Amino acid sequence: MSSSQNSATNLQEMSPITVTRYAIINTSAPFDRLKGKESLDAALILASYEMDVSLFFIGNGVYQTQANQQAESIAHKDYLATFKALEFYDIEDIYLCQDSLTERGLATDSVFDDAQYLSAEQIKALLPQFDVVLTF
Amino acid sequence: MSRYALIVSTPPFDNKTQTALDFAKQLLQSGHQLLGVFFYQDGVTNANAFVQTPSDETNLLHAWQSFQQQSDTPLHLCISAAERRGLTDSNEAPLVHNISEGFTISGLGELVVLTSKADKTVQL
Repeated sequence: MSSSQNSATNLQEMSPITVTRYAIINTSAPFDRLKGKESLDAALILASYEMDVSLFFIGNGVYQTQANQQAESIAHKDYLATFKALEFYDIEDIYLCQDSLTERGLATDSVFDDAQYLSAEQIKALLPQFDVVLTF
Repeated sequence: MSRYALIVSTPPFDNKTQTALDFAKQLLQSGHQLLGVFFYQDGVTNANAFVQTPSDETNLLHAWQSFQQQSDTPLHLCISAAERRGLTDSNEAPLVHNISEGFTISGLGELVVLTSKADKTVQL
C-alpha cells in the first residue's frame, strides 16, 4: 500500500504525536458489504502507527466473532482469519456485547481467547474514555 | 476553537453526505479548524467524476469541490477503498482517470494522522 507509506513520512514529519485511544465499534454482520473488512483494515493501520486500539462488537457485529464461518462458500475472502493477527498488532482489548449475543441466541463464546463480555450498559459507560470512536 | 477531523462514509445519494458537507461549512463559520475530510468506505464514491446528477438536483460533487477551493480543506480519498469501487488515478487501458479535482489521493495512514491530531473526530 504505497499511499500509506507516503502517509508514514507525513506522520514522522508531524511528530511527536500523542497516542490516541481509539474505539472501533463493529455493528455489522460479517460480509455486510465491506464494513467488517474495512473496519479491520482501519484498526490494523491505526495499531501499526502505535495507536491504542480497542475493538467492540455490538448488535449484528457479534456475528463477526463466531467460529466456523465459511466465507469461501459465498465467494468471499475470509477476512475473519486476520483476527488471529490482532495480538501481533497489540490489539488486546476486545469487548463483546453480552446483550447482543443473548438476543441472537448465541453463547458467550467467540474466536477470541480473551475477549471481555460486557452488558450494553457497561459498554456505554466505557466509551467516554476513548478519544476517537469509529463505527462500522 | 477546536480542531476537527471529519470522516465521510456514505455515498453522494445518502442524505448524511449532505449533512457532512453542511457540518463542515458550519464548523468553519463557527471559527473552528477543520484539519481535513477523510472519505472512506462508500464515501469514496463522492470523488467519482463520472457520477451524473439530474439538472434539477444538487450536484454534491461540485459542492465538495467549491468547498475545497474556498476553504483549502484537504479532501482525502482512501485509494484502496476507492479502487474497489471503480475509481482510479490510472489512464492505462481499460482504466480512465476518474478521480475528481480537489480530492487528494491518500491511504489509511492519513486517517491516523487526521484523527490523532484532531481534538474531535466526527464520522457520518
